[in-house]
Amino acid sequence: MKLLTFGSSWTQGTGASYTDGMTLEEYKVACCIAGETPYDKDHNNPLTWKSLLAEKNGWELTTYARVGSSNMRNFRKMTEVLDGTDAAETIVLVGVPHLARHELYMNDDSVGFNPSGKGYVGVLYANGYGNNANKFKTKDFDMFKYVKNHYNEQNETEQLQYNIAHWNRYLTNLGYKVFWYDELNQIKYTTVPDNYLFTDKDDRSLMTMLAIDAGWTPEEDTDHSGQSMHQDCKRAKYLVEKKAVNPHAILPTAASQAKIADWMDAAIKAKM
Amino acid sequence: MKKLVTFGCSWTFGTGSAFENGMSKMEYRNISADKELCRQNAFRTILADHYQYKNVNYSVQGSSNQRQFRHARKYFATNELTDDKVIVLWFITSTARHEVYCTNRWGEEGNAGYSNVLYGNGGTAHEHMMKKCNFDSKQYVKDHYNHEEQVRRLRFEMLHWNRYFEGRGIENYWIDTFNHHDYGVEIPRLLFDKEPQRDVLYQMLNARGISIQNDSYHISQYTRDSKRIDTAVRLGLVNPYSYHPTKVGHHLIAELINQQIAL
Repeated sequence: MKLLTFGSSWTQGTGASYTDGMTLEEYKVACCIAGETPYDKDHNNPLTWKSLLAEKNGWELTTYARVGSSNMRNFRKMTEVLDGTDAAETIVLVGVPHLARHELYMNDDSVGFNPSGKGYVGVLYANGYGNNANKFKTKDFDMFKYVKNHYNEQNETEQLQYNIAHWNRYLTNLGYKVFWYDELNQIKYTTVPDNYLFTDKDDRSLMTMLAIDAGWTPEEDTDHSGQSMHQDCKRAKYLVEKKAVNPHAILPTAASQAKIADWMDAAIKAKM
Repeated sequence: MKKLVTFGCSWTFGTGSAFENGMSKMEYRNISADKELCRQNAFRTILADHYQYKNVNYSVQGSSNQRQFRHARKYFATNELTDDKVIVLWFITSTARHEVYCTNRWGEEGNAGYSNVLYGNGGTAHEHMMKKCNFDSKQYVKDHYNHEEQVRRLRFEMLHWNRYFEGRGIENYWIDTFNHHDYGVEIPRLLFDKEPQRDVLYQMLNARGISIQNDSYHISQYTRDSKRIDTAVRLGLVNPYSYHPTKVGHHLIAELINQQIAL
């Protein structure tokens, strides 16, 4: 079997190389900080949950997940690569990132994400974070203005729902097995598709599951933006305190990656 | 029941098709966007009526390729389509367009939804109108617009949708509307694919014995920007104000499409 993954840093497994006590500078060298260090060194790390999951099952892994990815990027990459090749022997996992993200084509990519000097750059504007906006340096893209003039969570959810319905039909017709899951926050769909993972949980996002596993008593929480070191919700603070995520980018440690791999394994097998 | 589902921009919608020779610009403005007149005269209606299909139309004036993909995703995701036959005619428009969601469209408080943004001619055409959507078209073209990338993405989308339609037993065809795009690979069911240029504008002129190849890109933003448009105006195939197909033009397009596919 083949395993193809789409999603953001939580699916990519970024941060798996973090070790307890690592400074921010050490973390930048070992892993990456989105917007500052272009290459994600955990891409091929065997400690990431996607690698552990693939190894456990003998699946051949190809990952299209990337730090800072958006639903827009997920669907673009899926359109490019899911052409029906080996469909009957392929499992597709799609992690749904924060809704307040998209990507822009840059004719002059000064950030350095694209070695050719032009290409797509993720833009993240959850809560209109100015600090992060500056870090990304996406030329002439004013996140505050964008959120005010163009972002609407309800519309993003609605479009996502149509996209998932579209892709479910397309992939199923071709013979793929596809599963969706929420990475950081539970998306408020009107109807959750049958092939969504962890729907038996009160909150099915990986981040909440990790927090509960670490001992967090579920309570009302704000969304986590997934934009580097912002401890912008109760779950983020709790997970940092319990050392289940690193403090520099709020991403799962190697031990947490192993837990997610086990959860994914069980959830996929239950659906198959 | 048979359905003809159409996606496209103003050319497919039928904008300006009620133009009559001798009309003043003001008279033309009054009728150019009239929905019922556009529907009556458009080639999509001519084809649908002739072959007794119900036309489900998602083309509108100013539409972008992105808008068409968005509407198609929603329509096909939410409709089971138990009809006897469904044919999709999908007209690819200028790459120098997309759409943005606006919380206050056209500067109107509370008017939320998608706005078409058009940035042909380096963003100078319609620049003033685009600013009302909080969209700086000149800056966007400079920083983010890349025609080759747009065509590359169209290639993947068209191949993707071909597979999607095959999976649902839906017959579909693609048509380049007023520009020939080099997709780099063979796209199954792309009409006029064996011709030197496959765009409908070229095909209309070719049907009149005129071949204009390697012409400049027509943006269809009320600009007389190509030899093909100049010639089409002279032949009465498009009107002299917005350069959209006339009644004669629409009948010719219907005939040309009819020669390519059996509805």
